Amino acid sequence: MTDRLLDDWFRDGLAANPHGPALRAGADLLDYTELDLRARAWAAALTADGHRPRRVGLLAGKNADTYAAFLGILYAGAAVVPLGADVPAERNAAVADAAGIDALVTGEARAFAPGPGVRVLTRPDPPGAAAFRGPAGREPGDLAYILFTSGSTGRPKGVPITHRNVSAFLTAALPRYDVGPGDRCSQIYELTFDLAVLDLFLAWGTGACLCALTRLQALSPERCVRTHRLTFWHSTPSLIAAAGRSGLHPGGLSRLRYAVFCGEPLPVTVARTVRTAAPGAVLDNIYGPTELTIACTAYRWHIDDEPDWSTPTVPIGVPLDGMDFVLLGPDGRPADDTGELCMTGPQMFGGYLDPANDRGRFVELRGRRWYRTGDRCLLDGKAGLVHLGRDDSQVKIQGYRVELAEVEEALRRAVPGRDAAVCTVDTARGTELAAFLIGAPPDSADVQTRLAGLLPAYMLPRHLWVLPEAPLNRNGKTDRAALRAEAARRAGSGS
Amino acid sequence: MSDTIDDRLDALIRAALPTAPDGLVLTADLPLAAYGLDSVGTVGLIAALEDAFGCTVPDEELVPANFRTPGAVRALLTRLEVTT
Repeated sequence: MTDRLLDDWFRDGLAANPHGPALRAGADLLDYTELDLRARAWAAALTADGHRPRRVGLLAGKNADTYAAFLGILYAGAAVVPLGADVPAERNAAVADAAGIDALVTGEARAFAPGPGVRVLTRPDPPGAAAFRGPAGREPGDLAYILFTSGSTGRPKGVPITHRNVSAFLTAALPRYDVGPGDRCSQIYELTFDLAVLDLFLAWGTGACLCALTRLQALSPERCVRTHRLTFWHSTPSLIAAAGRSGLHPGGLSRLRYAVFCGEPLPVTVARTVRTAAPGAVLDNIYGPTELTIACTAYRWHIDDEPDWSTPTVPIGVPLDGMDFVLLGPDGRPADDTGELCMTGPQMFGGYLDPANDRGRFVELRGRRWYRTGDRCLLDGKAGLVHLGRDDSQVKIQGYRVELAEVEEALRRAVPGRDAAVCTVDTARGTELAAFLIGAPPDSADVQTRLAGLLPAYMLPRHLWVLPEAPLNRNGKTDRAALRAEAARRAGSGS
Repeated sequence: MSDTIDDRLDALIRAALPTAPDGLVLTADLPLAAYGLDSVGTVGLIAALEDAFGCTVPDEELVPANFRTPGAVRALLTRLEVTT
């Protein structure tokens, strides 16, 4: 089953439920046959006049045409390069350029101007849909999509994922969920985030209905579950935690059969809130970096079980079928119970778009190549893998992966000639970014506006402070611990 | 469209911006995310707008684009036939 194309999984749903609902987005409700036809219309437009696009940028909001175009790009034999509808044009342009897109599908008036030679498509070709035939010679080793994650060098890193990678994930993951025609699955994550691919192909691989939700809608889960009659919920823990703070009632999500969380550690307290709101739901905590295709371990917390682990977060459990792990000790050798989680298997990507980013991210052990996740884990005899934290400067903000260096680099660009240091601070709202500009207060007041022109919203610091000089450690480097303490002090005093 | 927005709407938006410096002028095209308006803050702003203007923001208008700038918020209220 791993030697399949990603769009083959959609055809499973199409065969199982041809006249049942496949997609609800805004006011649109499409059945499987209609969605297939719309996807073909996009594929026809992409391949008109003998074009054979390789990589296609997709820049649009959560409307029916966006989802149809996602499928249509696959039908056309190209890799999807999702771009952010709410991301500054300059960043989208950098991503599109790094990915080497040769066509751009967009419904956004705010679209950036792509490079020369990039075809821009704003509408499908409905008359061409019926006659469309997929190109010959497609293989599971072809790229299905390319996503970008925050990079420690200050620039986003491209992660190419093949059809085989994602088919291996779906082969292992779909049997975990008894979902099919009649089920309605949430789609909350932006398409620039690979967890969205789980939403799309969990629904479409089984004949269920995909329900597109904006983050604003999803922040009222009880309303969403009621109005969309959702049976499957998938979001970050932060989102449900934020919703819980403003009111989540016992039984308020009782229609749910599954509640799945991913993207960041799941606090036990948040999981308990979910179990109270959705007493009939199976609770799954899944884990995985983009490089290992969506998720590569899972822990199912059974409703009657008391937690038998000691950390304040729910374990990440055991690897999905086909994936192997090893814990790497500080001496670079496999360790018994605690170390950096390294994984390999059919879901592992082949390497970053820019091979320079591969350095230090892989390790050769036992005759195999392993991806180093950077996550420190403990192996518990009963619970499986338990996430302990990270040693580097990658952080999670509301489930988004952020490299502090990338935010610092943007600050230096927003205030030329000045240094900056960024750290996290924990508040009642969750983990937030705090930025320090080093030196005298900046001349102009619009630092924040300029920063918003460089970074997506989730990377914008919640706190921006001026510090006369950076605290240094004994090696003359910025003392990160001192910065975090200063940030905690300032955030705590409400300034 | 004028450069600034009406006083009542100005006050509601300003209250939803945790990192707005004193004296910040809310021009129509100011990116609100730059001053700390995240999605959780936006939900709070929506509730405040609904209370202040006696309107209901329907589900299909709960899209980030409607809360990106003061001008977008005002345009939303105009669509909802709210007089600010």
